[in-house]
Amino acid sequence: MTNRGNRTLWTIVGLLLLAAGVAGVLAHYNRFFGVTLPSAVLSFGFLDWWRGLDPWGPIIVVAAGLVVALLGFWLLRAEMRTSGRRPLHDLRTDAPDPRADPADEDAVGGRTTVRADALVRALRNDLARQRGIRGAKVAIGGSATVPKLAVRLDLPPDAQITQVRETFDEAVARFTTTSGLRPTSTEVTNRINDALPRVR
Amino acid sequence: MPIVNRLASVLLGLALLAAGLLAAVEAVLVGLDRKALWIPRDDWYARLTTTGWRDNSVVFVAVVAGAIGLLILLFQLRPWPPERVAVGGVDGWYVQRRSAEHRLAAAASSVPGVHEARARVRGRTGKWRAAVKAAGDRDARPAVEQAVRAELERMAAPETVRVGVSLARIRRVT
Repeated sequence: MTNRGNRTLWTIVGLLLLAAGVAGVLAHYNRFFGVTLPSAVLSFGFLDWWRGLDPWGPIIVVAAGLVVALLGFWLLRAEMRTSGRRPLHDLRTDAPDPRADPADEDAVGGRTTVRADALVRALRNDLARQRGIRGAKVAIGGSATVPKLAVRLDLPPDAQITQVRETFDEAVARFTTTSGLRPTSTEVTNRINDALPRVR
Repeated sequence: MPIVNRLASVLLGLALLAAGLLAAVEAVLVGLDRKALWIPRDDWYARLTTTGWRDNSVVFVAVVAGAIGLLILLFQLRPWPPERVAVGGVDGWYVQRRSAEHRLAAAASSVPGVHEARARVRGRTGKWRAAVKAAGDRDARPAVEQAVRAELERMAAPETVRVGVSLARIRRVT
């Protein structure tokens, strides 16, 4: 999830907690918007209604528990994607079965798969090899028709961003030639520091 | 700050996952009329059916929840410095804010007679400004400004970036 996404999430959590706190205080002082609250937090009216649901009560709780667990899982998975984008799926190209076209004797049917992580590694390694770039982190999102590129470049202190841009554009052009993917949007964040990047 | 949010989100995700699964398992046990695994059902039932809204524990829990909510809201809604700042002349190119600050401080420190330079980049990603503070003679101010401008040019910063330089005289121990 992006930083903005996390900020929105925690703003909502903060609002909910504040609202719950205010509601609790109002309920305590019997000022809950004119509603007469039952004597106990878990009222007998509610318990009667719940028992009336039998045998659906536990089933509803199981379903609600699974929904909450799924939300937690989604949140964890979203936190693993810092760019906030879905990673690109592997590229698959299907060639038709040659038996379908007897005139074309040289045709070979089958499926070609290009792994998305191989494309990411290829661009990352190409960028990291370029003069004036110390390291790169690449994420490709979107789809094969609308690929979106997010890159972080590690640059030395004497880097000239305008020169780096030219080098970067050349690397992306090579990537497009090789993979056939033409990024529709590109985000490049430059990190300039004295320290050498970690060797993988 | 973003890292605090990210860590908190991971913890929230883990808590939701664990609580959801636990609730589902406990509900299955209730349905099968089996003993609870982890939740003390009888204790909770007894406590919640005997605790009234007028009870002090209710207001205590409400105040704590509200205070935590208010703190989270204040933390989230106050202005944060941008994570990265835009490069001029092209869309989608940025420099990490911390890098920009380090480089501007290093540029200021490279001027002879200027020490302990610190730089702050503030504003929005697309429209940002830089402030450099250092110890040194005030006569060095044009040289510091020039060095900072040269560094901004190296970063291809937009021409609209405002730069503030303040130099404090070095205290001498006599």
